[in-house]
Amino acid sequence: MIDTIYFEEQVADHPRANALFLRFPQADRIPCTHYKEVFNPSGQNFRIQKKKPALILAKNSGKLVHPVPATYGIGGKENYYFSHMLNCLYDCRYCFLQGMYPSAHYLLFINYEDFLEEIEKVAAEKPNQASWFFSGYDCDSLALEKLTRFAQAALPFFANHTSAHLELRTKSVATQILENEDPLPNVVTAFSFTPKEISEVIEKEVPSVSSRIQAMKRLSEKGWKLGIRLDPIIDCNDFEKLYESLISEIFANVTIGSIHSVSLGPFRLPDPFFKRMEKLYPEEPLFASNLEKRGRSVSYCNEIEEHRIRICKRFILQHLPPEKLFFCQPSEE
Amino acid sequence: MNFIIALQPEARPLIDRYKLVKRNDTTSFPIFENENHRLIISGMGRINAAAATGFLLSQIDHDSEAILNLGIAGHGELPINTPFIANRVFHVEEKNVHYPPPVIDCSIARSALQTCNASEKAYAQQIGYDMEAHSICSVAYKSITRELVQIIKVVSDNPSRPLDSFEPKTATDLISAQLSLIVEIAEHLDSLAQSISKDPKIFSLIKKIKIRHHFSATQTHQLEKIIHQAHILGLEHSEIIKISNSSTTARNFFHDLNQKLEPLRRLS
Repeated sequence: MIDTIYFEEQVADHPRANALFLRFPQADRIPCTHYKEVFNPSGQNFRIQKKKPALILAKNSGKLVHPVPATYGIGGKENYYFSHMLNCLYDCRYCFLQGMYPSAHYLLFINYEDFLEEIEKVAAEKPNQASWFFSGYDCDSLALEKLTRFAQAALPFFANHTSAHLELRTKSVATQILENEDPLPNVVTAFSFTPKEISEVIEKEVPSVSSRIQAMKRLSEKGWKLGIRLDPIIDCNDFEKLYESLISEIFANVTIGSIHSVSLGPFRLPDPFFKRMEKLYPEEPLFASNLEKRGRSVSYCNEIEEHRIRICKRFILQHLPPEKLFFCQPSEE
Repeated sequence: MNFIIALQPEARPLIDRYKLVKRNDTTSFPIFENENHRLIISGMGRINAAAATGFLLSQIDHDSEAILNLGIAGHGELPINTPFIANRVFHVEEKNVHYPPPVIDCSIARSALQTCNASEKAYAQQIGYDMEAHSICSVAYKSITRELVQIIKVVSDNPSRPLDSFEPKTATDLISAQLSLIVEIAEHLDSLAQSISKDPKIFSLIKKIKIRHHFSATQTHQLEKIIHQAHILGLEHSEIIKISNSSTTARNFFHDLNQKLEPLRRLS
């Protein structure tokens, strides 16, 4: 699975680095002074690298926890994100990562303890208020768990820090780590979906919609709280029929009581990211959709966007009270 | 597909394999080529390598052509006659270290490679030693996608058999012995390059439409974009030409084509 491992010389003896070297004994190991030497140079081709990404092991010594834009959130007032990993196992054509990063290699920051320490500090600033920490901004939170063991390291921390809430956002069905543990009331596993027919076309390497729903069902039966993320909402032929079918299938399999939140997000990308993605995949029909530049973002035209969100909202509210439904809007128009 | 090789004896097996013919119109660096391959002889050392790479780039039309630097090299560990791909390329006087992205999926040794100012005799580390690769990467990366620039060396000397002098026949024999592997890698790189190159049919279509109407600079960008989209959305090229022929101005053409594309713009 991993043929090449770049590693910062400063993490060469780190136990997590050694565990990964042992896991991939055949991998070509290449030392570097700083991960940016490998990850950041311009002129790399994300599309080619995505065929066989290398793993980069590094230590992130900068700011590790960042505030989330005010227009995002799932009910909490204090919202932050952190990225122990950059890039994803999956290859979703709408994903902003392909427009944001020059490289498709998996960049793993293995100093998890520093992330957890900073989360502890941030949460301690508002001890009487729930602080939310989102882990799936720059990677899928669970897809590479067998390799990263991040959730394994984070769950005991969140068990002991109940004012800190964690969202694991994923399209993975690799949920064993959660199924083998007692549920934590401050951890939400949020699954992202597009309808099956769309997923099959633009979410490459992603487990099927039905297998993801089955993973949700298993977690629900174990007592874990769940999130549903229809984000981005993709315009398509038979939109109403496809989204109704998706939403019905999810709610037919997952008990309402285990749903923490549902969020809806329109398709939107910063304009420079969109341009890069269009250049990378010139044959992609998604990029020839009814999209327009609004402010600094590219999204569906207003009329389409509002209509599609209204439809999804109507279907969701047939199953769920409105206080559990959230909208993620771009922060800058 | 492009090759940069320091000396002609190292290049001879490829010249013969691809039946490359020497071009007569260049005086700076000897270039051998056929319809699909171009090979430049750089001469030894960093300055020659950088200059030859720059010259080669001037001969390449776009950024989706691959470059393979091939040659013999010293190595602190690998046995003589072992081919290897450079995975980290550095020069002690240069700040930039290059990491040619790992895109070659075949059984071949991987090694760091130090580019030196003179041939290495001490073999201080268990890595490769050459005199060109770092300069080639430094120059080529400015124009060519990094994945498409790769370095393949064949070990000619090591601590147990140090280099005394350059033997042309030995260099030719070392490369010849690895020729099938080198050709396999070149083909792989070439197919990677083709996988990201633009469809020439679209360009010829754009050219035809530009003859028919006048497009401003901004409209030219719009034209390229909409023709691409029409192609993606499955509109036949003949249909696009028909719309172009029936439109009186560039503006009309955009309007009519957009109308035709509107119902196709939703994913199905």
